[in-house]
Amino acid sequence: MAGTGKVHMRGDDALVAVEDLVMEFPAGRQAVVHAVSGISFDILEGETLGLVGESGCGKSTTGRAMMQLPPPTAGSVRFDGVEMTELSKEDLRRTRTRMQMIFQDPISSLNPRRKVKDIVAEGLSIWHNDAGDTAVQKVNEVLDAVGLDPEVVSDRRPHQFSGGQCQRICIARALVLDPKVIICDEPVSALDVSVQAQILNLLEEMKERYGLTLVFIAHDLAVVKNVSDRVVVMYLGKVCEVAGPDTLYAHPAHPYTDVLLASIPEPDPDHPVSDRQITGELPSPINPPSGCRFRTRCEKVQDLCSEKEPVLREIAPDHFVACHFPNEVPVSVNGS
Amino acid sequence: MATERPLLEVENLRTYFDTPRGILKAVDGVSFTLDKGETIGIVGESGSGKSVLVRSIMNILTSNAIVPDGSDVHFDGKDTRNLSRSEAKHFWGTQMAMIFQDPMTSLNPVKKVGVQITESIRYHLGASKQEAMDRALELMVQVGIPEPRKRLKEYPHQLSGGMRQRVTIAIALACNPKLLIADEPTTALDVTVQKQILDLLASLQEELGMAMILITHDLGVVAGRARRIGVMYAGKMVETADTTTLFHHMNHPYTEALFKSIPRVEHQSHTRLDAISGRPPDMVLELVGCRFAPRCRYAQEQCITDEPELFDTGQPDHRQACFYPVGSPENAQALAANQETGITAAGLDLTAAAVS
Repeated sequence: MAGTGKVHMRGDDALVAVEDLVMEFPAGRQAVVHAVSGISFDILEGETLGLVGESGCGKSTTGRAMMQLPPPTAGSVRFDGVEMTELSKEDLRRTRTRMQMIFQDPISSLNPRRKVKDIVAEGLSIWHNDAGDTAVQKVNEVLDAVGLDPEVVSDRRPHQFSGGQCQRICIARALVLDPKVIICDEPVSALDVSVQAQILNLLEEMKERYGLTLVFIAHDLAVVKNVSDRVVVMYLGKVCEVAGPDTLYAHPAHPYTDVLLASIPEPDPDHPVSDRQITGELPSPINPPSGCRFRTRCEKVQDLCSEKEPVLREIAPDHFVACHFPNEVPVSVNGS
Repeated sequence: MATERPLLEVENLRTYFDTPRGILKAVDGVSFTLDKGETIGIVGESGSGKSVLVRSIMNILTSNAIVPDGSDVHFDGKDTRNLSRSEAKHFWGTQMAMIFQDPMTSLNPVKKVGVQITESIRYHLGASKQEAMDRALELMVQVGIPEPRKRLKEYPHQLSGGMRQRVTIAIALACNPKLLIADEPTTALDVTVQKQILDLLASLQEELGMAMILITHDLGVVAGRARRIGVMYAGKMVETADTTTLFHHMNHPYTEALFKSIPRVEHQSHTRLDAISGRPPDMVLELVGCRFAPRCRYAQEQCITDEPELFDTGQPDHRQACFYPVGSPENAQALAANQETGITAAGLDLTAAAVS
């Protein structure tokens, strides 16, 4: 699986374009962790892009590299016509107000000693000196939008809220500066299914109401499918497959996508538990396998897979896969 | 139906906690039985009392816990609550063992994996160091850890999340317990690893003939794994049935709501999820009526004043606690009445209910 291909890029219309993104971290003794190894994708305005893969596949690193947290080792991140990697410190700070993040653990991402109204208002007090009525109004507006009653919650602190409510506060904080893009890094993985549904619905509403563009990072394909317009499947720092969510579910082309789909627990006792299981462990990103990085765990592995890295190619309209031996996909099917 | 006595009998179990805010009724009258080698799934949201329930069964509660008289837990014919401290020490591990949600916090970060596995073998079975190491190696192979000899000498932080959970399973299995309690064993893990761990638990259970209590908040996790399911809400069982019956004849609105909030991969993307609005009740308060009524789309006057008890539905081995069970004509009438006024008897706004 390569991430080297760029056939799936959609040209100049994209709001965000990430190209050949590489993220490497030193691991001591000249060893290097290849967290993300040359991936490319773009996001159109108003779209939700899902990034899905296991822990360690580089999906969070990708999300953070887009924010330049820290800046990528190589590659380009273009946001609204601006090259993020080349911005000065001050310009970057300004640009980041329009790109916000929501994290996995809502409780630890809120300062326990501060009141909700101060947490949410912080961005405003930094960027707009109107700390008066308009700021209060704005804070109340976003709190109300995320389903919290401003009068009740403003003076409380994070420990007085449940995980789901804390995630709402995080969403309010991300919204307060009217961002264009929100990067959601596993926003529902720490939540119960019932609360997860509330937060997923809320994100969809906020997207509609504020005209947001979302990057949605998660390991559960069922969750990603529900919210995304386009899904990028990642494995060990590379892109495996890019497609619309419904296409991806109906006709997964990459063997790794198959595995992800088979791992979703089906709430149906008549549905036999799939005996398809991913074998082995994720290889070390310090010394990734040659050729296709998934080959060590792939059922369909051939000699070619270790010799040559597969390049992303279009196998059906708007359906791209990086595999030498992908599943058959009906070409006539037009996804999403 | 087993003719012999079930392995575990829980009768009207109540566990309260004395807190500064008052008495918190975490588990409030739960009864169920579990046969040898059987799996029961216990499903509910955070705060529904599932974890306290199994901790009460194991008798590992904190010191401010109160278990009122009349609560009975019989394991293999013995009352677990009357065990002396020294008896209890050999009871945990050899009879009942538990695995927890977060493998990082349930393992000791400064001890090697091998030491942690052999500790209980040496303590409970009086094995020599070498015997215990051999057994540990055997266990590591059994739970599917590659390069087990090398891994025994490593520390937990050197293992991935899935491997750590395999180690905690190995520790739990070390002394061949009759009952394994898995408290959200896969919540902290990726879906792919979750599947591996659930498959592993199922195969080990078959191999060793253990009974298992599988706790989760996700109905999807227990669907293919448990023979029976108990759905818990606010310290009570609201529906119990064998798995097939439960999914085919879901009676309790809470079970239905949990089921509907799962994002289904078969559905079109951007399908709106039926989230459950609101939160579970504050268990310190005196609760009147059905505890789910404030969040229930079907709530009527009766639900606010009277508390429903578990009763048989007519399906074999299926019990539920709702006056207006899903699928019944009463339920349809209740929903129609609520939709007409736009608000349930408990004050849930049905028009806004869709929002959060």
